Amino acid sequence: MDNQQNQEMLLRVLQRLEQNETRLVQVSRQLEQMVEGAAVDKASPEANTAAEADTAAEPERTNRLTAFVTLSALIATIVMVVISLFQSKLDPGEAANFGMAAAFNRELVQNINYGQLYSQYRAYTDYLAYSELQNQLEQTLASTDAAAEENSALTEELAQSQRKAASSRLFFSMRYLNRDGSYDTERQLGEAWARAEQQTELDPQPYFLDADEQRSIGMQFIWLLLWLTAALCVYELVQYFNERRVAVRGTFVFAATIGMLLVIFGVYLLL
Amino acid sequence: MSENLLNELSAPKTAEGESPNGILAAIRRFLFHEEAEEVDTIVWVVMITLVIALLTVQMEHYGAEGGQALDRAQQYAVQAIGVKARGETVAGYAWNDAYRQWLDWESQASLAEQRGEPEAAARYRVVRDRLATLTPLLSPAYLDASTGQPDLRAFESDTYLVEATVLQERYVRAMQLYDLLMTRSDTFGLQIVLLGIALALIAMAPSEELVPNRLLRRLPILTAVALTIFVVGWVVQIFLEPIPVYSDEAVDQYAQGVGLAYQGDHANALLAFDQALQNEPDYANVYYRRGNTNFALGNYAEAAADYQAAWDAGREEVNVLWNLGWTQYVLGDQPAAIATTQEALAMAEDQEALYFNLGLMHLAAGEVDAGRQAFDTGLEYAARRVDEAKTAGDQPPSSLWSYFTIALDDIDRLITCLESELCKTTPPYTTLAVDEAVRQVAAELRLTLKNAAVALEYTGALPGDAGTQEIGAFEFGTGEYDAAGNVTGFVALGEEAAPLRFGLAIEEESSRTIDESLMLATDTSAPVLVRFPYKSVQDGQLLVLKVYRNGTESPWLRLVENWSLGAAGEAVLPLAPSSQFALADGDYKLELYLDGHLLQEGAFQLGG
Repeated sequence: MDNQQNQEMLLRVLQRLEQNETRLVQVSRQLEQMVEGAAVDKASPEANTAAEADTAAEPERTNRLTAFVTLSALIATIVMVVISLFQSKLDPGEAANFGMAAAFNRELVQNINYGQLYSQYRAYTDYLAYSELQNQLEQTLASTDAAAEENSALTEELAQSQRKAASSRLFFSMRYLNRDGSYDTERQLGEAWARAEQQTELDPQPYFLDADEQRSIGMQFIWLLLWLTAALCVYELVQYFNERRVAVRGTFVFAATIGMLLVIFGVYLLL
Repeated sequence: MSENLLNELSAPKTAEGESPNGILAAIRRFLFHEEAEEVDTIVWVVMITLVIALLTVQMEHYGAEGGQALDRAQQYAVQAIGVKARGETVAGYAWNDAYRQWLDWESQASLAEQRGEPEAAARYRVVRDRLATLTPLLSPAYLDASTGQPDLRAFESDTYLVEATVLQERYVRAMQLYDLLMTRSDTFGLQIVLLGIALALIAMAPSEELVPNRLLRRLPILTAVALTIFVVGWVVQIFLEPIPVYSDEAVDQYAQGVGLAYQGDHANALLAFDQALQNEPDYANVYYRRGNTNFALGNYAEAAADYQAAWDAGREEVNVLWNLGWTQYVLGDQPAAIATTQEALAMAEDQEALYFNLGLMHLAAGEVDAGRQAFDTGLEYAARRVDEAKTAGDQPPSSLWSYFTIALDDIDRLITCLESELCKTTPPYTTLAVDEAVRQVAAELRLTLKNAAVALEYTGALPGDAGTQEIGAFEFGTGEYDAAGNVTGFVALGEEAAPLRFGLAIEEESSRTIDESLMLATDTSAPVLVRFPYKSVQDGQLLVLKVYRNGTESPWLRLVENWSLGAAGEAVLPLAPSSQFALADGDYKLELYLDGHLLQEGAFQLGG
């Protein structure tokens, strides 16, 4: 089918819809008249005059719809203001800034700790060399039957290495020495980290997660605002709809209202 | 649909006040009451409002995503700096402390062996081996047992370089993503403003009483509609542009390649870069690094293609054009090299090194005047840079002297290629314009560059006119000394064995080479002297003596002082900075400058 055929078909469908709409309105009026007539029969004879004036009911319904739409639009506006207020309370940037500060502290502390560790580790390196030499010399002296002159030289070298090892020991913390003479670098770093952690925030992740969560909530609020805007637009449009299109107007208003109620429920869930 | 609506809006009413037939009109007749203009207006207001709302959502979405990207970028940046700093600390300890001590104990062990004390040697080696447990650098993974040399570059690469490169790349990518997302967010903001203007235009539409002409009355609405259609088209265009998806695997492979190239393993680096490009074909940094690797391997055509690809993939930086231009020069494609270097100069017009490159390219193409002009411009910028630094009370950037050194190396290689057809990192001989004028200008420019480098470094200005001073040919030799250590005689190198120096205490036990040109003096080494005649020299003139070993200047051998030996005579100068050091074996070249003018050159050889 070409475009023209499509258009013609669409026009025919719309005309049928219009006819159906008119029939629906007529049926609806007849039903109303029947119900109102029955009520009038039971209530008072004066009411019969009202049944005759059925044409007056249509503007009244329109007024009711307009009132409902106006009220709903007001509610939607209030909800939008409330959402905007909550949205303004969110501050992911602040959380991210805290996260960055923690990340910066973390690297700074690690670098300082490494610097301190290796300045001590240098002294430990000297200490290790001379204490190992000391061990070797002691073993040699204990096992040797060398001449006194040679022993004297070894003893002198032993004394020197003892002095050098002792002076090196002043420049690193003995608490990190293990029984086998090795140096526990991990423990020193761990303790330094623990001390720093008591002074300042070193874990940035919770802050960045908080920032992400706030951004996510903010986005959900924005989506809710979009829905409310759409609802307001529908309410606005409906007021320009032909008064005879009762079913269409009702459907639109119903959909917008349901949408608004869902938004309100969404706000409740988010909070 | 928009076209129909426009027709609707601009078309005159029928006699019954209805718009012409059509789907849109039918829908409107079905839904709305009779006031056509009012309906049109309200429909447009609603549509624009909805588009604004949707754009607001998108703006916020991209803003939030951009915020996350920025958070990540900042974290990566801080982490990269931290990893690098800690890595430097660890590598510094491993090399300067652990390995130095390891060497000292090994030296002690060797000396003990020489003294015939094997037990002492064994003791020292136990200490040495114990120290080797303190750092992975001294483990078999990095230490070559046969030479006693650890592979520091491999250790640095494994310890922090690769990790820091990964973090650095992630930072760059996160920032690129942030930039892209925020640009989109800002664009949506701008589009919202435009739609706000469209709404304002609709509100400004006059009533029928004020402007009876329908078309004129509806002009603001038509403008608003046109603006809205434009904005919607713009939005669609933005959504059609994809957001780049980065591959973490490619980043890891890139970092591996960087680490391998750092270790000089260019063949494997090339493989790593190839893999990275398979995972992410538009990865600009990989192309750039692969270009460097290909250049190092001598694959100049591939290197040029990589630099071009890096540029095309978005790395539009001056160093890409710089390297591309140089590679084209080496390939012998001088027109392309000149064009590329000029493009680079358009981005960095005060970069003297680029002018030196450009000058060489013109020379290679036989354009001697253009070559001379490019070198002159480069020298002017260099002089300006030095002057600005002096005016600000600062030192000129040391990179400037590196550029001079590199430019001189390049021009030396070109001259060698022109004269001997030995062409290394120069254009192929067959592509060069070989004539006497080129040779002459190349030699002249070489001298100009050398003089300018010395004059700028020590006087802060380009050299003035050469004076009348004369320096005779150099003689190299060793001295004969009296009991007070004064030189009393001169024995030219190669004539006969030089006598021992006087008054030198050999304090060091090791003769381990500590740098490229100098060795700790031993009791068998004698200081090398240079002797030359001179005349018409004035006291106070700036003397600069540069010493090159195996083609590279040894800055620690450079002698800089004011002349104080009188107007004429014969000078004898030591080449080593102190009596504790002696020159290592090698090919030496000497240059003597007075007031920034090269007056004499000479060469000698030590050892095999």
